[in-house]
Amino acid sequence: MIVFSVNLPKIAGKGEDANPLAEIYENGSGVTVVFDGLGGSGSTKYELDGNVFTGAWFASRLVKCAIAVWFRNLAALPGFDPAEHMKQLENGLRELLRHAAGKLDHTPSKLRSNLIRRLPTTLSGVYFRFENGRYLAWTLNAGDSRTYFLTPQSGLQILTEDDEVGPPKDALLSLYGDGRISNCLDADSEFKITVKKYDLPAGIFVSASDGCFDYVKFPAQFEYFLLDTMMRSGSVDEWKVNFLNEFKTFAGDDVSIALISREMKDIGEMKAAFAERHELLAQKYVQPIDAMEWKVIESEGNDNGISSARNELRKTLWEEYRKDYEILMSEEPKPIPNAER
Amino acid sequence: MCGSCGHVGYLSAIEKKEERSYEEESSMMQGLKYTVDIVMCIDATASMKHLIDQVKSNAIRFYDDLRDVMDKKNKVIDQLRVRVIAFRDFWADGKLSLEISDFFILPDHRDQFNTFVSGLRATGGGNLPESGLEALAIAMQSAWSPHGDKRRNIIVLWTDASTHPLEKDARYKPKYYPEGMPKDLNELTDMWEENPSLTPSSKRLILYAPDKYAWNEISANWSNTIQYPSTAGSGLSSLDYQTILDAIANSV
Repeated sequence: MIVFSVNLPKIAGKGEDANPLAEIYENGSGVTVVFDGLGGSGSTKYELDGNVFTGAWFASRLVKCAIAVWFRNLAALPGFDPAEHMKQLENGLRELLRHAAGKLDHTPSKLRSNLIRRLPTTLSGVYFRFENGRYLAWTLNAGDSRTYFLTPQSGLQILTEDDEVGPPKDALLSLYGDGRISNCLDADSEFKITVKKYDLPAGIFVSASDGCFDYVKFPAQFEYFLLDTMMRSGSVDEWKVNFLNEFKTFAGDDVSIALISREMKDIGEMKAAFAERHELLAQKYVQPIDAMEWKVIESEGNDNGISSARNELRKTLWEEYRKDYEILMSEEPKPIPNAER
Repeated sequence: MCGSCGHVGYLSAIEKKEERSYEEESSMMQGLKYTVDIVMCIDATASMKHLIDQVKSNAIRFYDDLRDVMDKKNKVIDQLRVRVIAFRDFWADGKLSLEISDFFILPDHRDQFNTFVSGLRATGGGNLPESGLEALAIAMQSAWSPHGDKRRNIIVLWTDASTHPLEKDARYKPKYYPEGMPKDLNELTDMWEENPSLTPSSKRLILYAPDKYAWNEISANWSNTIQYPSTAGSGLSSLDYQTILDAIANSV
């Protein structure tokens, strides 16, 4: 079994992502969840017991604690179905965030804005149970963090849909136009946690905050860097270090990720399983994109259509990559209505 | 065509890469770059006389403060441009109703930008209200840069006054009233919400303006706006200023 989680703050001590949740319970079920406190809308500063922190920093940690306790209490229930408890969870989190905001918000800001929220955070994760050789999995999502399923055959496959203003955007479009979040956990809105149920074969669950995938040049690069840092490592601990060193060179945000492989016994087995996929990503996507990016840099403003060619290449390669990346979404798993709705 | 990797130009790119430090390579190859355009609308009527120096000082420092916030978040700015629209009152000030600059590329044209801002004088305007909505419309019609991996289109407006309604004297506009103005607040709202150059992720409108028409309606109804209800931003706390900069620099 491999349990991998990393939290890399952009500024040491001020990271607004909480430490991710990556746990396997006694009954063999497990969970990966990330929590990204939204620094743009939640930058209001509060003081508690002499410590000053932003609303985003506080919200991600508060929600992480609540979710961790919730899963620890309920995951052991026979036949536990998160969807049946979602309305109760949403109400509980609303109450928690409102209570906390009431305690913290002594001198409310004079600013009026629909861009500013009290205690905003995303939540994206999956609860899974292994039954009869397959996974029953329920994703939970609010905001623009993402949860994936990773296999050697199909690579990274998206399981959640971003909550953003406007029509849904694919991963390439959202990379070049960071959207505005339409739904996230906060102290004032009637937020919604979307639950989807999946029936999946053997594979790996990955939850990631947008710092992981929002600062690459092409969607496949996130998968590539995840696998490449793993391939260069002799242990999970070394993988964490390599991952941190890679992402800190370019990520413009906090980076947090949780990954669980229930079947692979160690990193050696994982490297063997993913060697071919890693090579394919390098050859088919990363090297051509990198080469074209260099041409753009080398053109130094005398573009001569190179940027257009680069954009065309991105689109062409994205059409290829998305066939597997979106394959589980294209099966249109139905959102599970909350039991009491 | 490279015989080793099969990609045109790839080996030469690798050779170039070896001449650069790892950090240079990483930032150039991986991190997305931002193009930031800022349009500053400044009320330059006589009622601003006691505030204009502070507003000019805030306008000049805004670039450094935003750049500082984005640098701290490792958001690489590829190009930052600033344009200034000083406005007064078309019903009182004739051809002095507007003083408009081109975009200044900063930091290269910092001196020209500072000179333009410093040269603004608080004069004219007649009685309140002023022509702030027209200034806002002209700001939205700016030649926003289409380049860059990610963009920020920011309008910052300072005023101590309410606005004339856009439908005022619809059939007999003053001589120097600009062409192409929206006929009412609904049309101006559409310019903000439906302008393809101003996407939901890129646009931000910062209003240092009193709780009066039309600023109160705009802050209540338009997306991506922040209003600090005040006379041209006076009394803004450093905490609220930081909140504004964070809301501009970060995704929301």
